Amino acid sequence: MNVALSQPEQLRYARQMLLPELGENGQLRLKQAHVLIIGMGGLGCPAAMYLAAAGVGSLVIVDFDTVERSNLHRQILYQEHQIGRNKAQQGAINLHAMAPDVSYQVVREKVTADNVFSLVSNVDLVLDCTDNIHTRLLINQACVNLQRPLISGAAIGFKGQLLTLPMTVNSPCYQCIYHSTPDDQSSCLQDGVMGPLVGVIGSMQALQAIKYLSQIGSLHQEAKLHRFNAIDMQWQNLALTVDPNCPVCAGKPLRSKDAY
Amino acid sequence: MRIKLNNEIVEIESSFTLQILLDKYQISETGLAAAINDTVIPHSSWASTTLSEHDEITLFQAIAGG
Ligand SMILES: [Zn+2]
Repeated sequence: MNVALSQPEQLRYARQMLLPELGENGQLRLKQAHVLIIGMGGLGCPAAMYLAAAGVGSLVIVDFDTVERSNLHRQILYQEHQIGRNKAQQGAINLHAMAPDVSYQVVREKVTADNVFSLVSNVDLVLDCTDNIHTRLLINQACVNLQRPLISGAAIGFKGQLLTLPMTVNSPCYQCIYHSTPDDQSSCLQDGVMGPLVGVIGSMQALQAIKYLSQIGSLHQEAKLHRFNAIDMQWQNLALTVDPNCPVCAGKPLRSKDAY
Repeated sequence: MRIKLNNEIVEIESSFTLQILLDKYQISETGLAAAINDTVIPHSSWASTTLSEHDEITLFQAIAGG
């Protein structure tokens, strides 16, 4: 890949490169980055749009599902006439029209124990934009084993959660926080969800990803959980710690570094 | 002593651990996370974490949707 920025790229990203925290160095880091986005629904749409628009070099977008009419109030990447199309494939087409400099890889598969490791191993950063707990646990396991940073978004009703897990020695994994998880989690299917709420959380996943990749702030060192209540507009920012008895990360190479 | 449990003031005995609090209020642990003063306490420490006066406890559930 050509690492230098072309003239049109200089122009396209000018307003973010003006930020001293990002600058041209940060933009080049974004251009060299490979990001995996699992789930191209209400979270994945805005996350992918902002990462593509920001000039992340390569996006791998994963979804086996098709666009339905009932998705359109929150899955803002798709158009009415695209109902019935695969979300990953149609998403890549729509993203390409918006940001053609980015390379898109489409994976039209369900994430399973068989493919999750190869998906995660090929990228620098993972965005969990899925809608079910089973896939979330698989993604967490792979990110722990392969030591890939995980930015996990979730939303239901008027409530959202954003987890930033650098997967470094002192940072916890998803199951350090949620030791047990119910089998039949509530989903947008049964409970409904506010469109702009998933937009907020998905956009914040993109924001965290851009900061992580361009090394702005302290995301590399610190795991964080942000909870959002959209009714009273309250955020709660929580510090996280490793569970030494975590069923997933205890005893893993991630935890057996000298510093720990 | 007084603590806050999800923003409501409650009166508990000073010997209470996080686990005793959950048991007393019969709170289901499935998908549950617990934080004291904005720091999440891992499940394996619930039984050994004694609460202090004015602690602010937040109990919340995992969300899976998106
Ligand atoms: Zn863990």
